[in-house]
Amino acid sequence: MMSQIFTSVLLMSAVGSVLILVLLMLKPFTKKVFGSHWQYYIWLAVLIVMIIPLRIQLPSAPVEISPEELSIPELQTNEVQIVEQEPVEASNGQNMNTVETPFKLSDTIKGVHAGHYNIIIYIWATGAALFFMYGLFKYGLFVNILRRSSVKISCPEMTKALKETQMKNKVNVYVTDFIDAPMMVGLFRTSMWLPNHALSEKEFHYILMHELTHLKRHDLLYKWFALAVSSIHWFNPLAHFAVKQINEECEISCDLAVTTTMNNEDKNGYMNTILNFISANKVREQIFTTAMANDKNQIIRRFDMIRESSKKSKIIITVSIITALFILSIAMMSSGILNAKNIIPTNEPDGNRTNIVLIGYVTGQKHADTIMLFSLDNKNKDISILSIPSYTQIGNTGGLQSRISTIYVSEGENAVIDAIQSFLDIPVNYYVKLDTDSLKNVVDIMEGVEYNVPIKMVYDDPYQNLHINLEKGVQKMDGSKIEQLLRFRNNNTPTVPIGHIERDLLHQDFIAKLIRQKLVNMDVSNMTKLALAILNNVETNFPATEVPAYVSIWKDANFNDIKTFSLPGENVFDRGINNFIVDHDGLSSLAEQYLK
Amino acid sequence: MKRDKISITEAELEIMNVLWASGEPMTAQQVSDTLHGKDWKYSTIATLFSRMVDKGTVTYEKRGRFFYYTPSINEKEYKTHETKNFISNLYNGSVKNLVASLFESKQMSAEDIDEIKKLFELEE
Repeated sequence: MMSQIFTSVLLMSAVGSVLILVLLMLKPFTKKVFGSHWQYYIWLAVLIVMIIPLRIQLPSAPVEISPEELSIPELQTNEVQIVEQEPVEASNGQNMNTVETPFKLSDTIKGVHAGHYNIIIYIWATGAALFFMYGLFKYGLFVNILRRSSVKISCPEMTKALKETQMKNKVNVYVTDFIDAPMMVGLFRTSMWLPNHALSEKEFHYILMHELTHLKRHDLLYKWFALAVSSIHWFNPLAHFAVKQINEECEISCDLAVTTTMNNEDKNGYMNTILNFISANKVREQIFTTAMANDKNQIIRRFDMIRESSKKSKIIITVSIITALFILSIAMMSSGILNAKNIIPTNEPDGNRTNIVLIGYVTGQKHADTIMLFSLDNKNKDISILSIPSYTQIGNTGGLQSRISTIYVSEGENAVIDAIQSFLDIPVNYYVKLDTDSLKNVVDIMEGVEYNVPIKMVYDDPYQNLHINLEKGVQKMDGSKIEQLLRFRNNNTPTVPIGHIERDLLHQDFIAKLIRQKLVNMDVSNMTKLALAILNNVETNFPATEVPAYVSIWKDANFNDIKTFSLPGENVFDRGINNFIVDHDGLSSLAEQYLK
Repeated sequence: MKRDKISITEAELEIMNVLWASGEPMTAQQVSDTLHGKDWKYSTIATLFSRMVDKGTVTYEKRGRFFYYTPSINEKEYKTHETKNFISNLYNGSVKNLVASLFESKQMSAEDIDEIKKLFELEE
């Protein structure tokens, strides 16, 4: 759950950063053509993109049919005996990759240990909380000191102005020695604070106009929103840069709103009022700082705007709005599409049952050779394993692209999980992706396993660099032999192929025996080490922090009674394609009993 | 309000507090005696005083053989100044992002202001 949020945040930060840079590049142009108000409000688009996670699932792209995938109808049998008939699939899935590989944030973090990723997430969350609370704290301190030192004054002009503009707010006015400039403070009970200067009626009027404009436009809400977003993205300097831009543009566009309907005399009066305040605390030192230069330039920019303010034509306004919406949509779409490809499935385990889907594939290839669902009954400590054939049809459309393995290739594990949850109606809490190299490592970590190889297996495929050579019978298997066992489909000669179903059953049988052999009587410490080592070798969303909890539940489980199932259903040959069609009734009774 | 930069170090503040508390001009020796708990040498105090005179935070008058020192800023002024600094820091730190003011606390020189006035023909 946390890692899902964090991945979303990273993505939104990335998209937001790109947007910020784009706006920065366009600024000279957009400022001139679209004006200050646009410049101020366009940053809302940035804030929105950086705080609203969208998920936009693209429809899967059509898959090119390669000869290897065309299968010949199989004879149906469920015995573990090896039978004839096997679709010719010499090279397995190498050509499935005509679909563009989606960008995978998880691949980028692949090298990172599951545990390390969690640490990063905690650092982020802590940073965000600290940043926000620190800002809040300073603000509270500020308001507190001001309040203690200030005097509330009655301000009929304020009341009058509020009434004229029909604003419902009640705004108290205070005077204090401790500030240099008039300001509006407070999101909920906004007050106006004035420095202790004598003011002419006209000057006060200008100030009031300025501050009330802030109130009317809900500028304070905008600013607080910006703070919230920049807290979430505290690690991203561009986010803070955006906040700075927002604050600058806020003043400039406020000036514009106030002075647009003013005549020249009033405009000058307005500008002088600002200067008078600044004058009151001018510095006598001649030391020149860049901050001072910046301040001066800011004022000049504001005054330029005031002088220059011209009403934009209707056309320009329309174009500017369209542009803004366009920018917002593009950004949101990018964020949505990227997010969909990386969202880790939610679904917290409910305590009693944890379902983990295992996707096995050959290192370097895309095709999902093995899909197995492990259902852990945490209460009764039972394990059920459901084999899902790779050519299971998801949905009712048919064709190659509806196979679960194709879905995996084109859309990744999230789509597989979706398919299992929606189409097979079985909840999934975690996924594990295991490739053959990692499997070898895992088996070697476990120091090999004893297994009864059902038949003599000899097969060579130079194209895949696959060489299988196993004797029949019980033998000690290391990682390399396991790989050969699991990748076997048929002998060189004579062709004694095993069907899809048989292969799945073989894989299941192997895993069940592996678990039984290794985990029975394993102590807590070793089990923990093993679990962490496995997590280190697979791609998964199972948090390493959960390992101790699971180990303490399963440490004395009965691993001798692992139940294995095949997905109920049958092969159906239709229009040249052989898909496995699920028997939903059979599945639902099976699932109710063993998987839910 | 006078806006000269008031600079008082922690040590100097100790002395100022003594002066403010007494309300009367004091010699370095008298201050030293009052601060006897601090274990400062007389020479330290004398040095501090001469620094403060240079900075303008303290003035002196000679009466006979001794120099009597008076603070040139009153306590309230100083406290206000300090609080103002503090507020300023808070504001510039991040509070300015949460409030809407007429301008961000600007520190500009008289020359800058004149420059702007000329630029925009704002002479009153």
